[in-house]
Amino acid sequence: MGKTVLIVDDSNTMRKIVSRALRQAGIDFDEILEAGDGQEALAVLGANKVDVVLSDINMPNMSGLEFLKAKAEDPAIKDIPVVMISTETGADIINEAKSYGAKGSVKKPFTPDLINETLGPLL
Amino acid sequence: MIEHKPLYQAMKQAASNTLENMVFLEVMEHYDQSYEIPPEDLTWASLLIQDPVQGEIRLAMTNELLKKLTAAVFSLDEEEITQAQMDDILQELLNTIAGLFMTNLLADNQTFQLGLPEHGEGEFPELEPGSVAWKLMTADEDPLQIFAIGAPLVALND
Repeated sequence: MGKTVLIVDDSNTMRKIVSRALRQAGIDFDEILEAGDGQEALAVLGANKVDVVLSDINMPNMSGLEFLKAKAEDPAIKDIPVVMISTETGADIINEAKSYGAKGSVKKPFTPDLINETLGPLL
Repeated sequence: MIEHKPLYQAMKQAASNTLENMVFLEVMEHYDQSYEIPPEDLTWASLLIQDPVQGEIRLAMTNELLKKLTAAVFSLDEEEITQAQMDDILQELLNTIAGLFMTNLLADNQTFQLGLPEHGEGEFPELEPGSVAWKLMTADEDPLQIFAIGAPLVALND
């Protein structure tokens, strides 16, 4: 059975690029959902059954880290795995994301193979 | 262990990797290093490097190339794309190139901070003396240029 993934990024372009990489990664996704920031992402998770989330870190309204914190406090969605997408590779911010429950990170620009290696074990 | 590359190679690798993975575009050095994109065809974006040194990176290309890239990413005909989509593509490319450039240039795990990319308005600003230019082109010979501006940033070459 196909999976559902949620892409969270304030850039419409990045959402399209991530979406294309997901399709090329060879993972069987039934549905690819999108949200423009953490707040929208929480609403999407509340209304849909999502298997995995790919989230940017720097976003307006609610950042990726704030999204992780809010998600961790909601028992209904706290166990959905989240992988962070970032330009910066600073260990500090990635470690902070992991401390809030992120299961991994991918650095831009990424290949479909990297997406597959990172998301595959979470599904 | 990340191999620390000199400034020129760091940017060349960042641009090639980003353009290939994000928009499937192969780039090489322009055969004419004195070539300048005519101002009427030029579109550009700028981003400030804020930490650990201060500087600026600019990405410039022709409107025609940006239109082609945008149409490919959004799977639209060139007539259907909007200026906002084109601006977004240019800024995302610049943001990713700058991030990878700094990663290539700095020591392992050294953090850095980038400003937000901004679409360039009006005439392309004159470059400071000592700025470094990367004059590239696609396989179709569409020109694309990147500039590193600011003495502290360029000094990372040393």
